[in-house]
Amino acid sequence: MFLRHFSKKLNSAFNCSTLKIMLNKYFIISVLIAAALILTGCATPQRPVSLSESTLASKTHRVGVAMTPLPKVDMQLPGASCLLCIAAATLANSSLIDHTRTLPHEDLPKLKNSLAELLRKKGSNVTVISEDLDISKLSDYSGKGTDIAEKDFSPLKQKYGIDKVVLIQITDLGMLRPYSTYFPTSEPKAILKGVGSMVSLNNNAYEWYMPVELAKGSEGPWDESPNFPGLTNAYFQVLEMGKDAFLKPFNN
Amino acid sequence: MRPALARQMIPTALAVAAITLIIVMSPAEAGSDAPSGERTVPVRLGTEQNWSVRLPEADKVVYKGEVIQDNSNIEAEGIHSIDVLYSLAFVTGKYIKEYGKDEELQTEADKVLLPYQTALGNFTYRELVQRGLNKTSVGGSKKWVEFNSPSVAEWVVEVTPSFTLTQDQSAIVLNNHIAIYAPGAPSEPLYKNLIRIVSDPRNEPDPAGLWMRGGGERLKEESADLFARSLEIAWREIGNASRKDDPARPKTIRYRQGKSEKMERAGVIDMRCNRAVIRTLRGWLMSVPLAEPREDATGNECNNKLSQNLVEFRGNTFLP
Repeated sequence: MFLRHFSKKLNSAFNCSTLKIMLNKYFIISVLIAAALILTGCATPQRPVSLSESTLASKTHRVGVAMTPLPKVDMQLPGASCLLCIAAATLANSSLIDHTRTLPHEDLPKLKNSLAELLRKKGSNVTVISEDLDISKLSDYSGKGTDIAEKDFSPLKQKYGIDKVVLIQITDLGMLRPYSTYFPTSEPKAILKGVGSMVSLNNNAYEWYMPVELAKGSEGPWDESPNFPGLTNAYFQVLEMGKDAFLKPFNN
Repeated sequence: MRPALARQMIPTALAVAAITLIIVMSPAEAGSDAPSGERTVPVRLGTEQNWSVRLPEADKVVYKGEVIQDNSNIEAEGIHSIDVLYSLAFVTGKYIKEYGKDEELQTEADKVLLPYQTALGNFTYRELVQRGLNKTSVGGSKKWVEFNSPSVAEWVVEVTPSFTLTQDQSAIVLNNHIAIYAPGAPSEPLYKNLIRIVSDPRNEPDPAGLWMRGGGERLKEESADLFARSLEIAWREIGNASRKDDPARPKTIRYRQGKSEKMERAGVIDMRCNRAVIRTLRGWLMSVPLAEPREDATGNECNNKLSQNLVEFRGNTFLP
């Protein structure tokens, strides 16, 4: 009887200690995951760097102007996170999504030519890099420090015979409608997001870094399927505003 | 208890979500701004043909202050939540918070009109329309008729003009809802559209002093100029061929509204004297001062403000 009771107690104690160990294990794993998330989430974003007059003062430097591949014009529904939410939001906005995908980039690819023209007016020796620059194919830069680019741009120096590269990187283009699960929290807006930068190919340092985030809603009602004239107008307005934003620092 | 309660509430929440979605996503009415009157035969008004302008129902001319929109406020992230009820509460709260915000913004924007109250307080649509008709040379004789007067056996133009003063007080914008009725057809308009005219910006150090010169005479005259221009553009529109044949391909037009630059995606109908008449994607017509001066914008024809944009049809359509 005693033995049976002892055995049960022992068993129970064993189970309890096993549970504790397992709990501790899960706790440690959770802490590690949380720490990893926090550490990666807290990676300092690149701060804006203003374009100074001295940056363009040197006429001997050869400047390359390039753009990354333009994103597909599309609609984003951030906040519709669960599968059912995504399905509901996509269904509710299907007409606008279809329309958004028909919108053109218009003369956005020529933005690098306009920028090159402004640099030439300032006396810079400019080369327009005709192909799209896919920076994801560049290797990571080994050096770390303030205002140092994450990617290693130095191979461009030899490839294009340049000392600096001005890069226009448009990342998001089209429409955006924020959601919270199934519910839209705002009317759709036309958006353009991107970054303009200038990197010195001698030390991989940013000499100009400017994030651009623009949004424009429809004047009047937005839900005018199938052509959505209000939002289409807003989209082309955002394109123009975006071009102005990237060119403005070189216009002064 | 808690999981069981949650299980019971999920279907309810989803049903509420579906209803809300249907309400939120229901198509907006195009309203009275939608252009109409697909014509196959151009209508040209000769000098022997009389026409009338039917006054709006309101007595005093409507002026508003320009509301400046903020483009920097991007809600780019959405609200990442897995709790449907939290989301519903959040969205409801947000809509309640934003309810009436437009009226608040308009009230704030209208403060720009304070220096003009003495002039605008007695400015009636009768006076505006009469001044505008005096400046219009389309067709034969023209007069205004009261809002509820019986229909007449001549061309009738129904108008609902309202004006906006830019916040820098350097320009006036007219929005005129126009409907044109043919003689003997008072029920169905032959042509209906919104016509927007943006005045040339005035570079005056004291804009209120300019507009209020002569007891507000300058403000009234400019308003009447814009009104007359909107009438002439409407008549010109029905004098042209069907919109279906309109070859104008939309492009982005940059124009000045006061001292700020605006953009509109539109087809260009006419461009001269640093101004353009354009057709927006909604089919509305706009007459705007171009942001970039044109090289050919010189000469005597550009000196006459009212004739800007209208020169073309003075010679061959309305004033033979």
